[in-house]
Amino acid sequence: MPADSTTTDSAGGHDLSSSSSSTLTEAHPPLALRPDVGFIDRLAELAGDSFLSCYQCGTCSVVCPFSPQGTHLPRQEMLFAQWGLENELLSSPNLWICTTCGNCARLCPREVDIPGTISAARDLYVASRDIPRELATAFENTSRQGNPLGHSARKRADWAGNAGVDVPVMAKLGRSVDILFFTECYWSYHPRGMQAAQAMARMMSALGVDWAILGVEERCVADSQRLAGEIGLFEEAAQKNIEVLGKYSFKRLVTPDPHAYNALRNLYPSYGGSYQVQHYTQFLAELIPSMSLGPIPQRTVTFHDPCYLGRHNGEFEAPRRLLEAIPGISLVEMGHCRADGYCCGGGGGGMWNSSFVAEQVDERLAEVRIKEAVGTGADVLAVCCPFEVSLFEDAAKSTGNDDKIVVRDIIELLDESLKLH
Amino acid sequence: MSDTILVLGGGIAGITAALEAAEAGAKVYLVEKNPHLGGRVAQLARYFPKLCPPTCGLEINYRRLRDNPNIEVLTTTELTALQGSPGDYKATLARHPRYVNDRCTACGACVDPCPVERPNPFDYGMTTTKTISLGHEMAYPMKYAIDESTCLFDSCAKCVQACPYDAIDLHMQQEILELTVGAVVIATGWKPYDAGTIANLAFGHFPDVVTNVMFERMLASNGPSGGIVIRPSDGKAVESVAFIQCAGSRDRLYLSYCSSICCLASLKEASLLLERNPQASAYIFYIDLRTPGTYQSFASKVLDHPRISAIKGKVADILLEPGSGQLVVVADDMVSGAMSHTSVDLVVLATGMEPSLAEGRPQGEMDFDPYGFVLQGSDPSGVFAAGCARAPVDVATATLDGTAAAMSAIRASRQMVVVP
Repeated sequence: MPADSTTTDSAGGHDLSSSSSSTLTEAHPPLALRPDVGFIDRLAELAGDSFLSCYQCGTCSVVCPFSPQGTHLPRQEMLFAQWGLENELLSSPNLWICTTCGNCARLCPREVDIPGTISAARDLYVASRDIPRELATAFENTSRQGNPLGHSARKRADWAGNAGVDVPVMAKLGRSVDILFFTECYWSYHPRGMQAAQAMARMMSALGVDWAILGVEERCVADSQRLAGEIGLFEEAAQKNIEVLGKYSFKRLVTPDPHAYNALRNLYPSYGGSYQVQHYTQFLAELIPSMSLGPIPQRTVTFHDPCYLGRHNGEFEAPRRLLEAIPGISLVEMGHCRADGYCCGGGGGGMWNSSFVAEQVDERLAEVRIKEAVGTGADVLAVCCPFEVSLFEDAAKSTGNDDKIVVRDIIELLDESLKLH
Repeated sequence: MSDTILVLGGGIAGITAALEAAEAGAKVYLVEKNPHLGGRVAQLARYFPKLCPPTCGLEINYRRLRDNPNIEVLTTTELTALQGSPGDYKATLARHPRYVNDRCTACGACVDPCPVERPNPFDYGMTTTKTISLGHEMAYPMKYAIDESTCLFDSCAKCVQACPYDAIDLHMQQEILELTVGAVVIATGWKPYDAGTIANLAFGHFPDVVTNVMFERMLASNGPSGGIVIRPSDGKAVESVAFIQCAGSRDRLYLSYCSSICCLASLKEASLLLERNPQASAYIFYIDLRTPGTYQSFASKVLDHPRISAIKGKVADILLEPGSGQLVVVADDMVSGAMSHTSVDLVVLATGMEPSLAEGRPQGEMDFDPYGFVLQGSDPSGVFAAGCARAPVDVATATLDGTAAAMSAIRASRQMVVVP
């Protein structure tokens, strides 16, 4: 066997499956691998070198939400990474399936930053090759319009017109506020997101919070674009957002998007932007005693933990406390909940890569998850990440469950409880 | 010659150290916190290297203990403080009440009247005993003891009335003992790592997920089901077992070191399972099979068995199969490169060994590594570790360790300086 052919096996890695009873060495001639040390170094520079301590136990592959469908085996990707097999790593379609949900890293016995390593590999890939079309469009939109949906940057605050209450904008206010609300893209532009943003505005007004938004000065935090491989795009956005935020005085930064929350809280300080950051559920949970909530029609609700609020940032209680504060709601848990929460499929670029992912898997993660939610007997799936409403509503339709369950952002349920009161 | 040595811990390493030192002429105090000697070894089904039942070796050792006037055995006793230097240590011991005195003949008349059932620690809670119990049939000393955490004391006292020998005293008090000794052997042993803390291996969630120490009891002829291996959930005969190696071990989230014996323990348990039920199947899921030294040949022999297979891949999820009650273990099979789903009756977690002194340490002259294993003090020191108090080891190594520590302790108690 010529030495070259051994490193260019199928995209899934070297085929070790042909033999059943014979040992590995009998079945396969010695492999001539040519590790690219330079590639290992480039990867380690971006992601840290934790992938070098992987000892191939396979825990990550088993607990990956895609693994029941036999695809996306992070263990193989970590092997390619630590052996410096650039071509194997970058040409694997699995590289583009990962949502960076972090369940693998949670259980990795060697504490390997698996999502970070995959993101770094994507970054190296983006620099040199064509990426899935849909994802490329989201990147272009983010770069041109400051949002992945491709809407006009000038229309970023249009949602506020239909909130029914005044939504103050920092630039017009000309003074400091307690709460600067970082609306982010899906609450600014997506029809279902806009409804949630309007509900949020009514809640802020009802609570008498001193707040404002950035309006058209805000642009996408682009944390998911970063994880999808566009670190440059993220850094550019961070620079611009930090510049805008620097013009104003506020006590706290509150955002509805767990992905933005993750970056504002954990990454912005290293770019020079240090703020007190809260997810909106954390902010509102503190104010439960001041809310006058009335009973809503009796409902059984199950809650989906967003990966970037729960697993990545350790907040499991605030959303549940809000749900439990609404009279009429009884909360039931899904088997996968809290740290063991199941990914909706939207993170790490998954939101803009559904066609590509659909070619690789039989069932989308949101479809698996909606079935788990229906299985609890709940009639409402409560969420608090702007990606989730549309993903789960589509999944409820495609799995024929839209007559069994509705998807509501927690703020919508709170709004209903405020209105009925 | 008046070498006086304190041996802390009455398991296989401590018993060995005490016997070796005493038979060499030293005066020995053998201190055990439980009511009976024997430690974890007494709970095994069989042990390495010859796969003897523990009764063999322990019986011989107990006879040596009984016959040796140089050894004083102090059960229900713990070391609380140790001060001094080689040749002259002051040890403070707390002797907890046994509530049963030396008049006990182990006739058992107290058992039936006792109204309190408690989880039996000897069977890791898989069975119960009365709160007054003998531990097991090979107990040393052959005397009952009362578990004070569950006893009703004076409000019941039925055992006191039933005892024909006036051997039960519910008002026994704790005593503090001060001993002067020349050297100390620490042989406090190990405890099984708490499998309930492992997030994804379902221990405590599915009753048919057990730990390796529990499985030893299930295989033991004096175990919960007389050595017939049945499913805890429904009593069905076990036809298939998945052994999950490194359950919490070599894992930075739990126990970051290798306990060195768990691979061998699972190989042994798999062959014992096949001995009990020749039609059974065993699947061993591993990251690396670690069978040091000459144990490699043992591993090869076991793995040659057609009904025992080893799969390279760590189980990371356990699912309940609807209907059958079987458990499905999921692993990423390194060799085939595909996900492996294996349906079994029972899952055995090969959990590792934590030092008993990971917490609750006596005050004074001893050093520990970050995990709680005892470090050999810098010379001159008269404190020596043996067995699993020093490092996770098998029974054979623990006995060698005990012998070596006895020698070192005698030398230190005589204040003989080591010439470098």
